[in-house]
Amino acid sequence: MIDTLLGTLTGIATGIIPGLHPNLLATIAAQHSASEFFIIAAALAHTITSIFPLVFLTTTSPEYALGTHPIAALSNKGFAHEALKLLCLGAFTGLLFATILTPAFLFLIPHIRTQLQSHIPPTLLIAILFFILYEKNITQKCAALCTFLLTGMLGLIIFDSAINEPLFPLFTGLFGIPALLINIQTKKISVHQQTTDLIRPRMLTILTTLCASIASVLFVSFLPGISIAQSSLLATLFFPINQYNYLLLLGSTAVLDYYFSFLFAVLFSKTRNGVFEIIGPSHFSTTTVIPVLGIMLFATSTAVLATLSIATPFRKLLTRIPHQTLHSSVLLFLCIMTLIISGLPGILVLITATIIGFLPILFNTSRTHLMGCLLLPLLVHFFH
Amino acid sequence: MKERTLKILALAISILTLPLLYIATDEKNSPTITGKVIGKRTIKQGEIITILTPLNVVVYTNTSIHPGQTLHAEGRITSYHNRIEFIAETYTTP
Repeated sequence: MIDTLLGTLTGIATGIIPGLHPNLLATIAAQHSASEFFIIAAALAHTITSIFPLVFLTTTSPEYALGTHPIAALSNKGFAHEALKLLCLGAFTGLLFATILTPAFLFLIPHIRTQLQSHIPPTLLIAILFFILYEKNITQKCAALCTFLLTGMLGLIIFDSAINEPLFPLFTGLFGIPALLINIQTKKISVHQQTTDLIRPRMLTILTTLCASIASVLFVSFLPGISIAQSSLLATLFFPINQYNYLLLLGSTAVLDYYFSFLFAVLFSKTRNGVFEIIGPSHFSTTTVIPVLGIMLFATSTAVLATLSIATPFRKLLTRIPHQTLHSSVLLFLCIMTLIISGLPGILVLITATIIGFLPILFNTSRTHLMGCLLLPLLVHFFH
Repeated sequence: MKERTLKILALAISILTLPLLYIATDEKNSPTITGKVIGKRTIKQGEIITILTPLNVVVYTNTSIHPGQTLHAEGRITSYHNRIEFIAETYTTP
């Protein structure tokens, strides 16, 4: 229990650091022999409080890669607190709703997997093509394809190398550094933010959105390499999700990724989530369902409570810190961590990944194509 | 849903899960090991010590222990990739 409390507090504190991914936190914790309870609680709490930099500093993490527009829309009107509240509401109710349905999932998932298993490689290929063709014009479609292939080739090279923890410099370069560099370059337009409680989704709306997020996250859980941001896009195609409900959806999908990754670790000793991969999926069995779900609920609800309670003072504090200094410090921290964890070859991966990571920003395409770094090696594995 | 309702619900779940965590993550069922400390010199505070048991285990402690001493430790087993460690939380040197 002490591990869970400490993990939750650690996650709440680290989540406010822009660009810091829960996987890095889990790697550092595991290297210091932290228990799995500490790591899970820290990662969940970190995911919730990382809404702070997302809303107030506009640094986008991969989980929310498709969701910048509704947040920016509210932020530009001075209603960033509303975005923060909706993301927290989605995360909290999403996990609570899924936890209630756990016995049904434990029964159904093995049956669905048996039916889907032989169709996974073609479904994955169709999903990749769909996301590339979903881009608006021919230039963006070509840029998306190039991004996918380039990251895929980078993935193939580094997975065949002896680099220590190759995913850390890869994801930091693809998703973290480009956003940080853009934020350092951009002169921040100061919009007066207000603490309001104007957008109040109805119960029926919340339930519809939660059903959409559960269905989409469950579906992509069977497809290795497809990111959670892509599951949000899928949900909007099949369910009536408006601009504000989309934030509920983003909040819930980020937490449901942990939930379903845990269930898959319990049922099949396989997981798609980096945090559970670091702990080791074989650690989990049916006897760990109640303690781990308890930890998840505790960490999520405590982090939601903390996020909503300290939002206003935190926002005021942020306005006093020069945002360029803040982002530069994080950039330096990530480079030093790469050097410590992966050494000089890691720095090389970081630089290459950063250059590729700028492509979606330059061509205004979805950053989820960067997941090609995992998907292309998987496709090669399936069809080789 | 109002923000206040969300806060009250989150607080209620936090409080309700505490007894569940206490029972479910019961740390009283920790594994125990007994063995002799091996090495050539006195291990200083905070260093890793190796205990000779039926299986050699590495233990993290926070006190100085001498080679040859018998150690009875209670703690937890953690693993990271291909490494398995035993973290001693309470231990006695009879």
